[in-house]
Amino acid sequence: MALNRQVVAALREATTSFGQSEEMANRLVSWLDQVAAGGSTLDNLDEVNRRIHELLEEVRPEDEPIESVLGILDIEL
Amino acid sequence: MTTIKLLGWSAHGFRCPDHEVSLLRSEKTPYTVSLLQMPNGTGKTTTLELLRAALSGRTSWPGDDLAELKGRDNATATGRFVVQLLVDDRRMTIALTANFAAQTVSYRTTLGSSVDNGFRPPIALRRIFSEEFIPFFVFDGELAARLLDSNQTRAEQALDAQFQLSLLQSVAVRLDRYWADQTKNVTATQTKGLTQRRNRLDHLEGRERALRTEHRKLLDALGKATTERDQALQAWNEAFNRDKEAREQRDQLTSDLERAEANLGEAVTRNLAMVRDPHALSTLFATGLQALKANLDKLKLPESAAKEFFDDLADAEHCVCGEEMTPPRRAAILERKALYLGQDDIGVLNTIKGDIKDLVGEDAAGHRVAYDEQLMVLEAAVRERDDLATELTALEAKRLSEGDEELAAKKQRLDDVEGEIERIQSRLDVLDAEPEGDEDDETECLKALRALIARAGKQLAEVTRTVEIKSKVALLQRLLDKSVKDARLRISGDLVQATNSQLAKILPRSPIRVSEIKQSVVLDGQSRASEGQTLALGYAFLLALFDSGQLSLPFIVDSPTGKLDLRVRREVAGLLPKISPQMIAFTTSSETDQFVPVLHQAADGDVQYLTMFRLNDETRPLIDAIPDRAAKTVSDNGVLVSSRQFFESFDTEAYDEVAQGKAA
Repeated sequence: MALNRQVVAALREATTSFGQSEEMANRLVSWLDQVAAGGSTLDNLDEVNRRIHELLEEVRPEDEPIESVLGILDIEL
Repeated sequence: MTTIKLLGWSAHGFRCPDHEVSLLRSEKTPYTVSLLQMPNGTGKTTTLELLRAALSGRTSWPGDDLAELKGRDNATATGRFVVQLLVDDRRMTIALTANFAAQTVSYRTTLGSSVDNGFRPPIALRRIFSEEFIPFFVFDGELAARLLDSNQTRAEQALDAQFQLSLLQSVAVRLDRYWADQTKNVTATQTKGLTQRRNRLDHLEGRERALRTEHRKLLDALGKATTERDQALQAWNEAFNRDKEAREQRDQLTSDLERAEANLGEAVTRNLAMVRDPHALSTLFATGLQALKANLDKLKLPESAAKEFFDDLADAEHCVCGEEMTPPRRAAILERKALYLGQDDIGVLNTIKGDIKDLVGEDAAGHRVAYDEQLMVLEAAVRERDDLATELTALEAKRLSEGDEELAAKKQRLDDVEGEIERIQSRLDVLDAEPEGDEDDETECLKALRALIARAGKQLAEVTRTVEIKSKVALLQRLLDKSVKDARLRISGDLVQATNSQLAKILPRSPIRVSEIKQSVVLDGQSRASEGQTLALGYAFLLALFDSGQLSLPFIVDSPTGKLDLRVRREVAGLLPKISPQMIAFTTSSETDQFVPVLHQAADGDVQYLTMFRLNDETRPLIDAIPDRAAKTVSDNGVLVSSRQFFESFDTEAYDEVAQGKAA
């Protein structure tokens, strides 16, 4: 069961609107597609963390000072 | 597309008659439509409840509801309901066992050759086999009504499950876990922590810059002062040397002083060399070492004693470990004794003995005497050096006391410059000192400061990276959230169009239209619909949902025509087989009119007609009415008949009267 085409389209559009690369969208869609098809699972923590790590490597951080990011997110590290 | 087919089920020990239903037309292919006629009191509601439970892994029932599912004639404490499915090409069996006494339900799942205790559908399908989604394919009129209820979220749930939107939400949750994993060892706990770390690093780097500038200036000043000192010294010497007698005296003293200092240096070196010999410091050491050598000699260590030890051991009756000394053990000891007489060990012991002999010799007390003599030489050298230095200072003082102002000025200049050099050197010693490891941020030790900067930089990098990860994680979560919302809009737009298209066919005379699908289905221009319209809407929505989704599911429906009028029944009958490749409908004979013939035609005749009734003394004569060619299964408390003829001729109202007669 592959990822629905409308979901893929929404993911790609959101990726563009967030200023992210096509490569990031490809990685995200590829992973979700595998999970949707049952070839990968979100229950395997090691694999999930690896996938997320690879995904984050592709994410372009927003051009904001990190302090402001912390403030916006109300983060307590 | 993933295809799920319902192959059949069996029930034992529940309120419904014990029965086993097969929906198969051939080995792996079920009928397009299976109609199961169950008159009132046959346990239709129980069977549907068990189907919903087994397909969703339900384990809890409120109050005594589970106990009420127990069959009246069930003498055991348990009931068992087994559902057979085909997931793509793999058989899946879910066995539900109810313990009525303990009020518990347990599951066993078989998928292919794998058997697991518990409810374990394939991971990719868990959102389908859930209590939230089951109502969409084990359908009843309630769900249709809920679709229109804005307080319910049934429509959105269906979208999220059928179109994997819940998958995106799950990934967002996993991102939170990832973030927690990455930061569990991070020590900075607040934004303040980040600012503090940055300020500290700035402070340390600022201090290092200032101290390195000072260091550079000190080195420059030292160079200049050294030059000035050389010039001042030369000027002082020239002025001093104008008095010939004084110059000669000073030259002599200076020469003597240099010699005395050289002597002192040599004495110190010799002294330090002797201090390293313990037998020179104390006669006790010397006699102790002599005793050690004597004992080694006496014991014939190392080689003889060790050899004798192993030889004696090999001759003994028992080993040192207590075991009997057998010939193989004896041979092993003699063969391996060489391993314990290593040349290295022998060499070391012989060297020790040799060194004691060479260095300590026979005269133990002589070494301390020699060392005391050397101490006296050192003392004399120090005294000579000090005497000559005092004499030289006295000579210079005498010369200065003679009232030569120029000489005094040059001496003063020389003293000033040397004082300056001493001050500079002292400060440089502080800056260039070796770190002791306990310096704080205000240290003036440059090496310690560099180490502190490296550590502070690492700490800042740690928290900076953490913040960067959080920023990226938050961005991804917002991206996923936006994707879910956008995808819902896109999919619901498609669904609205498809649902309206079906509604126009089903209800051409009293059409209702859907305007949008949000949390619920929103009607166009009206907030309510009749019961029949609502049911039709439910079917139209499900048809659109299943038609455009990624799953092919069996469609199980109770009383499919409900309160639909006869004309709408025909429309619905034509529509239902399109919802899913497999439909299972629980009906009564009152529903067949204007429904079954159209359904039969819409399913191209691929319809299985099943009738189940409870077996007791009153209903037993019904068995005689079963056509000879019909397949029938008779259990202790029920009969299941597979026959179109029997199905069509079965009168549920007449059956009810018979059953009620029994009750009376």
